[in-house]
Amino acid sequence: MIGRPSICEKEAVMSTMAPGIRRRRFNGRIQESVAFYLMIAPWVVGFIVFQVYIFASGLMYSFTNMGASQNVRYVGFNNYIRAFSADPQFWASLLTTLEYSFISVLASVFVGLAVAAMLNRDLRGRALYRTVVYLPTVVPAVSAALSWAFLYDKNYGLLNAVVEKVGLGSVTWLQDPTMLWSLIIMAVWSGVGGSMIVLLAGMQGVPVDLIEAAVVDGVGPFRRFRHVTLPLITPAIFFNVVTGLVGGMQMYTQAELLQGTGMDTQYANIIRGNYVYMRLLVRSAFRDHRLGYACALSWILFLVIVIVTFVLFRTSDAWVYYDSLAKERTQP
Amino acid sequence: MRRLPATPSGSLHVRVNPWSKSALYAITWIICLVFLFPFLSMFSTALKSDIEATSLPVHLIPVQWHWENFANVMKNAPLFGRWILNSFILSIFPTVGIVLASSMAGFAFARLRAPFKKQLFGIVLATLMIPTTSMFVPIYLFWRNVHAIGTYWPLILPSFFGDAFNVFLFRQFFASMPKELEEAAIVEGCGRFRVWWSIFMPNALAVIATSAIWHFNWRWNEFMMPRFLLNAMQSYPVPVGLLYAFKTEIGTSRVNMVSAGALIFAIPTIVVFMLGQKYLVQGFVTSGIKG
Repeated sequence: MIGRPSICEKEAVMSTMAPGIRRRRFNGRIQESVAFYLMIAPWVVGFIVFQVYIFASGLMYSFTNMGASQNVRYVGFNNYIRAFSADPQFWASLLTTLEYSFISVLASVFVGLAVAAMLNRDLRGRALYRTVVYLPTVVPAVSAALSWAFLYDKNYGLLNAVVEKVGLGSVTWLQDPTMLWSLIIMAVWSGVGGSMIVLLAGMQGVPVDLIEAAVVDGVGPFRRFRHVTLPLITPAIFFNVVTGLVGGMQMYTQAELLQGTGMDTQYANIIRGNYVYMRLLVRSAFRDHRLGYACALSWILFLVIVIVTFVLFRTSDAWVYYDSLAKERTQP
Repeated sequence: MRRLPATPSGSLHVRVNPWSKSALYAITWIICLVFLFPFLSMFSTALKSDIEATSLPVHLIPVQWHWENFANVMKNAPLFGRWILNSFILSIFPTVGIVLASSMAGFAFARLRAPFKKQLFGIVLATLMIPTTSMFVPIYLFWRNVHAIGTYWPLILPSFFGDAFNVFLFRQFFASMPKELEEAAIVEGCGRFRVWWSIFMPNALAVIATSAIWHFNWRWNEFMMPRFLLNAMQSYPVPVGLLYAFKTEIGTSRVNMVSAGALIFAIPTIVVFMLGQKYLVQGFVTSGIKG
């Protein structure tokens, strides 16, 4: 990028040039702008059609009774009122979703932090361990969810085989009240890899001289981690928490596949711990055919996510450490 | 793009008690085992016979190893091959689209000057966080209005407009490239599109790989969109097809077949991961730390 002084220099040079050259420069500028707009045109069109238009149309539909009857008409805030006061599943599923995403994200970050701290040591075969922990993140969600569905199976699942050996009796993993926890365990299993990678990269960016200084001062490994490494990797933690929460609140595939043996149970009985918000949304749209209502649910979820993200960003000043020098260094 | 140092800089060669060292290894191995356990269990289910898969007691190591199950997936679900093909179509085309459109926009944001560039890039950054899945129903209605439900358009076309994450990724990379790269070409009258295509793109293979691997994996995983935007067995990708296949009369599924199918389905992502591990991690790190 061009800093202020160089622009001034250029203008000074240009003012001494012949008018023809200056015009050519000007034409070049226009050409450059035209090229710029042509090159970003696909993204601009995509943004307008697939984001602005779709969000706006969703908002519009959310004020109609679309799907509920033949003639579509505006019903004001009825859909929203229905969600907040008349739909017994609304608050329950929203609560389940929030519980699921907050607990699984925090747990993933904690476990990811522990694993990253271990793998940041001088271990033989580090790369192998890292790959193993990261593998669940890479494997398709469908494959992963199916494997857990079989693992959790009450009768034929290996997990219960193990639990029974230990003498805890059989656990109904896929029923309330365990269901939510089964879902969270699975989310942590597949989420640790991602947070571990980001945290590990953060840890490796911690300057050696800081650690050395702490060692010289006689600071033990735990305090060293707590007071030197941890504050410096808070940006990585923050990133993990934000993306994890946004993803977690929109979780659908895992919840749907984890019910029973995972096969086509979209319309089966409701298990509270598994009935996340996105399932309510899908059920309203595709089973009950209340499309207007489903659009209202979409917008409510969107706003909830925006609010959660906003609050997180507001709190970030208090606990995320931004090294202004490091930031300048990475700026192009 | 920041490189990861080859050795862990956060760790020092402090003398470690050999007991704590072996304890560390033991813990690491236990963690690895826990992470591998679901795969092992699935692999074992995939190898079991129909009867053994649903009989007690449950064994981790199958009594009889039915390797032919993997081949039988094809036989029992004649459309499985078709679904694999569909999955590839629905992953490769969007990946090509996303790389083309995003790299072009990323190049423009990084190397060209124009009015309102800053504001437009602000929009890119703002839309990075937009939760699109939450708008699933409006998206569905949009494609229904243009009569595209059941076709591949909704699953392929949007990628050809690029997305904020990849525009950002390419922009960051292109911005770090030296200025000399394009100066000579522009002086000689080379157009901006040529500069992007024949000078910057060949030098951006690392970031192209990052972007492509990410997008491919994401599309390969996609379950919700194809499930509701497609409506015929022969047009489903594997995740949706698996859901409907292998049902018995009483409504339960043949778990060994489903496991085998799901494992086969996981192979391409694991291969892509092994080949492009470096780029995947790089993408994660760049997007995370600079974002």
